[in-house]
Amino acid sequence: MNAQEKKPVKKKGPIRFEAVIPVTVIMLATMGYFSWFFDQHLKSAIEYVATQANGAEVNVASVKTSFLKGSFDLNGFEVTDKEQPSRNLVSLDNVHFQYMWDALLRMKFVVDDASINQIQVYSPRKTPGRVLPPEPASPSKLDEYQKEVLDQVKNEYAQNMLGDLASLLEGADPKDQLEKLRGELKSEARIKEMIADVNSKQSAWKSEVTRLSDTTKLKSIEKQVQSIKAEKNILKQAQGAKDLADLLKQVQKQAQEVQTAGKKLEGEVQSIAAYPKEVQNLVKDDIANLKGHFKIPQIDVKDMAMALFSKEFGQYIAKARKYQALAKQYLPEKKEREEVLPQKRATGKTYEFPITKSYPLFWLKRAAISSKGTKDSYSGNVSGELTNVTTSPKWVKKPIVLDVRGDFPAVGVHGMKAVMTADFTRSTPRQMLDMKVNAFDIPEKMFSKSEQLKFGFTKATGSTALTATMESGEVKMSWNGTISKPVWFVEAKSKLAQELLTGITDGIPVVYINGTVEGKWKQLKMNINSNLGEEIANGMKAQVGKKIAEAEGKIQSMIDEKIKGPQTQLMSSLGGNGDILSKVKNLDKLYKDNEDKIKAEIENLKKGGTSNLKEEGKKLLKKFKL
Amino acid sequence: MTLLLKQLFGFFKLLHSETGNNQLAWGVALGFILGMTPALSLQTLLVFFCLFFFRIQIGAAFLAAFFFKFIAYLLDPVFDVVGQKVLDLPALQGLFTDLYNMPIIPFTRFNNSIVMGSGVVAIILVPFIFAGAKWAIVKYRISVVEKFRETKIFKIWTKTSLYQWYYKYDSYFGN
Repeated sequence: MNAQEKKPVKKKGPIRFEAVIPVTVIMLATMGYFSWFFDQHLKSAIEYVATQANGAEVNVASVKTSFLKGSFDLNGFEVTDKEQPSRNLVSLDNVHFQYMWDALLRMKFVVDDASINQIQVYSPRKTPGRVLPPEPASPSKLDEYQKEVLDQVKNEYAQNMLGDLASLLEGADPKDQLEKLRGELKSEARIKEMIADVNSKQSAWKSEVTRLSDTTKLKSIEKQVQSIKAEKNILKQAQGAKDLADLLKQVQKQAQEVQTAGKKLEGEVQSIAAYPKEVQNLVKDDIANLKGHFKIPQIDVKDMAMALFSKEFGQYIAKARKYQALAKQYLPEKKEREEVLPQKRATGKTYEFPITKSYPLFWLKRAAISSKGTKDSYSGNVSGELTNVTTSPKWVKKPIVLDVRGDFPAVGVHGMKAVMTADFTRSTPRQMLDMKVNAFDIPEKMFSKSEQLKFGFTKATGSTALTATMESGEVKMSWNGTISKPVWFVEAKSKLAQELLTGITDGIPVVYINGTVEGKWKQLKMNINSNLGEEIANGMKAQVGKKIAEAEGKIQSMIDEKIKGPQTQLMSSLGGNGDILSKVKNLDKLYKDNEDKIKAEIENLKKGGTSNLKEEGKKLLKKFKL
Repeated sequence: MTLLLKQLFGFFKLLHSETGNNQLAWGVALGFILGMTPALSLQTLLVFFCLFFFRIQIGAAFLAAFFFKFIAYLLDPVFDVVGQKVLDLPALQGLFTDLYNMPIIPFTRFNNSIVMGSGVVAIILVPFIFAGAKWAIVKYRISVVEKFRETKIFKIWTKTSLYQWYYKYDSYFGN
């Protein structure tokens, strides 16, 4: 056959019938995938994403979707408790979503009715759940928000107040602090200086007095006087009188020297005599300084309640902050049409026409929450509903409301009621929470775990009511809680603290806590009142008052102890100075007496002499004995 | 990929045959629509359906789409302006609102200015593209293919055993 010859070509119609089989095969394969494999893959995807989000294994027993029915069923949803992998944090028997076909054809996802059934809390797992290793990466934004709140609480209201007070009651603090300050006493140092000064002056004066008390000259004068007196020759007597005049001059000179020394000593003794007064003033100063160093705590009833419960309240606030941020992230306020900004040229501008018959992109109209539990099961008796979760709240014109109430008998939670409202229909979004739990078991709670004091309760029953409003970046929250039937635990090193706290706690069958917080997230003003705080603060106040007085006494006694010895020594030294002064005065008197006697003798010689001169001289010598 | 290559080879084969003018011209015209449309939308799927359901040369459509995509990229600002003009027409606001609220129609993304602009331009130009493509194919066949067939090289080539073998193979398995 010639290749050039044209083979008659069969005329084919405009429809490509040969493509029908491949298309049919593709369609059947797609249907097969969605019928048999899609649910399994979706289940795996949900498990993986939820596990990553939770940080611990999340299991889903089965997922069932129906394209034709527009339904979604999730069965056996179990969330492992990260802290205790052998149990579930929460588990749900079934979650059912029924999508509206009418909306799906409009590319919108509207759930007309949904249900969440059989909620269990802390139910045991068949096998412990896998816990993901902690991520070393930087903390998430949510963690940062929570930390911001907790840091404010931590910085403002330190938790070690009870410990500090207990250590003060123990009595260790004043002593320790005073021991540290011992070297800083000004009075002690000054007294030492004074003693040294007095001692040196004493020794100087003693040697001076010894020098001045030398009677050798007086004795030689006395001998000369005697020899002159014994002279019979009148001429020689006249010469003797002249010699006596010379001797008188010598005595007068020595007496003058003693007198000058006496005046000088007297001046110095007077200045030393001012030392005791100076010491007294210094002691007063020292007491004042020590009191300043000794930190006596100011106990405020409000601060005590804060110290006791700020951590718990802070946790509530941090959680509120977290959920507010989550709500903001996942339920963004829909911008008004006028606010749509022109997009880039390449992507054009997308117009939003008024929605008249259609639906928002996502709208969960109502999800019923129901669960029936028995006393021994972990299921809660819960009923409630979640309504109007939508991406277009302004169009729906209804706020998102989660209203749940019920009990979880297995974990001791009774009379739980929570109404959470997220209102994005207004120009300013507002989120509200109204939560109440009539009774729940409180596990061990320690207010103080310091070495000085372990104080708290091992078991109690609590009730709580929490209301919160968050609007325009501001939060307003109030917390009313009670702790009843507490089994208190008090273990203090100080017997006084032990007795005090035991007495206080015995008198408090129910602890009431009222807390409020308001302001911007970055600048919260928190206030907490509690009868426990008041009782502890008042009891502590009285005891601390006593301790303060005791501490002051200790300061005084410490000063006395340190100062008394040196002060006595100083005073005795000063007494010694008085002796010296009196000796000097005696010397002065002695020289004056001698001077008078020599003068009298000279007069006597001038008149012709006396027979009893010898006896007079002997008497004079007797007086020279010092 | 095999399917695509087969279609491309088919395109060249058909281009050099004496039949299939309309198939090729429609392929180019629908390729023009595909090229002009900025992203995947309902109308794109509709064009694909037409390509697969009707006997339209798919290779021609893909080649044309590839070619017109570059032109469309340059024309995006024009489409944007046209689209905005159309979407802003007061008389059509009611229609657009209805369409926006109807099922399925929003999948066309008609409310996007570039989609609307390119769609309007494509619909207006499609008849011209079809007519132009058909005229160009006929002209190509007369002025290029026929003249090439008359050359000695081609005549020698048709006498080779390889060509004979291919011709025979094509008569059994081609198309």
